[in-house]
Amino acid sequence: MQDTVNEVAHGLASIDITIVIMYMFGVFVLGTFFAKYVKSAGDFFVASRALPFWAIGMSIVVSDIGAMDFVAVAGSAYTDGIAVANFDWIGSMPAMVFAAFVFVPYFWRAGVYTIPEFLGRRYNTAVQVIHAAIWGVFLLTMLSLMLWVTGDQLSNTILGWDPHRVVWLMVLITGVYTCSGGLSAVVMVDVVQLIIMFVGGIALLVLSMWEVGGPMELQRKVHDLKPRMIVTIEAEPTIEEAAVERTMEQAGFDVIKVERVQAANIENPNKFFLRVASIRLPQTDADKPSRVRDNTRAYVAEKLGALCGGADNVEVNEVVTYEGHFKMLLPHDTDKPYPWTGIVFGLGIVLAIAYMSGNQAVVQRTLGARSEWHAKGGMLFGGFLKSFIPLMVAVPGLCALVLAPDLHDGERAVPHMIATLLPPGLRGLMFVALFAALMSSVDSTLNSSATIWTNDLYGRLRQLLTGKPLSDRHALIAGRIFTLSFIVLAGLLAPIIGRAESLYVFIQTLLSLFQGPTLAILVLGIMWRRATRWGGLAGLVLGVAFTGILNSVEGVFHSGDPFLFIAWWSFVFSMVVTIIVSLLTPPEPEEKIRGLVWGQVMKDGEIQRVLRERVQ
Amino acid sequence: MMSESAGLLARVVTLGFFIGTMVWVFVGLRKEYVNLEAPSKRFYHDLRLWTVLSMLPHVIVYLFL
Repeated sequence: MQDTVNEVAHGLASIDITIVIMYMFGVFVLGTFFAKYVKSAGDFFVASRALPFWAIGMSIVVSDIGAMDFVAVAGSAYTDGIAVANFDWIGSMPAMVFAAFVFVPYFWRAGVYTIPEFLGRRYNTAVQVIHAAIWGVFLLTMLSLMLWVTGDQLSNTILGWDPHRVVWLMVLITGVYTCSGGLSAVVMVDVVQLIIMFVGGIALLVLSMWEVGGPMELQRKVHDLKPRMIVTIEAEPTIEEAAVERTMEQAGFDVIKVERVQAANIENPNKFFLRVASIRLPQTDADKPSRVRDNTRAYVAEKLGALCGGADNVEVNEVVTYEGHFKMLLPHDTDKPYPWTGIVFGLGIVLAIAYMSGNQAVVQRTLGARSEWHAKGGMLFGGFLKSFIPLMVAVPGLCALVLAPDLHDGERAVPHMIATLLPPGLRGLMFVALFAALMSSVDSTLNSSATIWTNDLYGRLRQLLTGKPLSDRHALIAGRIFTLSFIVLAGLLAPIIGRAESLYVFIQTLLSLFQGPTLAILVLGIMWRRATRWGGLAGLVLGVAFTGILNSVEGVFHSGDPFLFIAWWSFVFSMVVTIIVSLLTPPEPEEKIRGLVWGQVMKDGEIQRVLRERVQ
Repeated sequence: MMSESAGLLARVVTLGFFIGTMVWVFVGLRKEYVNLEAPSKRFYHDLRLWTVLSMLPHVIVYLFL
């Protein structure tokens, strides 16, 4: 990647740097402008319930899409094809429709600030605190990671700027406007950032399509590409890259690149070296069944094994083919990470709905809507805007396959396209689009984590200790203190968390354990009046434990990365547990669940009136 | 590659998910519930219409890709 990004950095004109600096200054001024409208906790956490649908929709989309999505999604399209777009199509629109018409009206009518608060009202404090604690820790960790991504991967590798300085610049800008202006500032800055992100993304799409020759040419050229095999070799240091290259060419393969990556043997780093070779296979292999490709793998291992002391020292990591690159629905037993069954059931029905209905950073915008219609409309508009994201991130990744077919790592696709396609000025705009994507995710996460910590953790703890709820003024001060503390803490932790990949993976795994069970208790809590506090608690706790078991036992699912299937089965398990335990425990009193379950609100005009008064 | 019958099943289930959602919003939910507190009763403030219009491009994508 370093070669490509250096090419980008050296190609930066002063006009590009000027555009980036002007953008940061503009965002700071716009964000802090909204400070004068914040007089109460309601102003700070839910923007005085005055947000229009268009601002809500734009803010949801830009908060959800980070700068690294541009890089990672384009990289995934480069490697695995257009199926990655499922995450923004079937993984967004239906879920946002369900969120708009099933979940959002109940959160909004209940007059709550957070989803854990709703769960606390519907079930009990234990469910509220467990849910809040996991989301609170997750959001805080994500904040550090996002800051480090900005500083290290975006600013340092691409622009050559000192990552620590960029992290603290981000801390200053986002921290000050989020702390002073609250949700209003975050949403209005997001609106501007979405426009910038779309302009940059569309420029990249149009220029890459122009270069390729249009959609039909893109499809034809990708189908004409020969499949590739990526091989890892552990070899004596005396064996040169040229020898590996020569061996494979003599065996009849077209070698793209052989490179030394790192010392493989930690105990004796001088003995073994790791080399990665990308080898182009004959075109005929592309259409053959995987058994034939397995023979090719064995043949490659045998030939290289003779060179480096045995086939055991050769590992064929990946066979990249292009036959399914324009297919949205891949077979159930595909070796790519998006089988259609997992996409529909795991992503479409569980993960997407859990994310759009249970993620505080998404839902908080709808809680700030000026009316229930605007809350629902904001979700729908967000889904509509999200439909364009794959065009701006996945399609340039496919174009890179034609324009630069020999990239070893798919994540080089976007930096390469920026370096080679965009002229000065437009390149600066593209960097601003990437900064916009990242800063909008940082401000939203910061605001949401402060809301959860203030209301569901600090507020709850204080109420348990003193017996008094937080006053409005106290909540506003606490919210601002949490906001400032978290952004500073995230800045301090950013280099540590950014480098500790295992911690990030652990937090991501923790969240994935939580999605299915959370959705199960949310759905039953709203749709089924018989769901009880004990049912909800058992469904959540046992569901998370069950997901943990599924996650740790290997071989249960065919897919190499079975998170989509785990999400589906953990959802089903938690539903069953919640139903059984609820039926075995006494029903909740009518006055407790009044207005919080579907049937009552739909049929009872009196309840609708009471709920409307509650939020006014 | 997917067999023809498996491919058809995948397409039918996926399209059913989108079309089912549209039908549920348009027919299954009461118009008053969907459009509660709408700024006006004009057709362009009807969220059922916007749901269908937003989802139709997805149906086309999954029908042909």
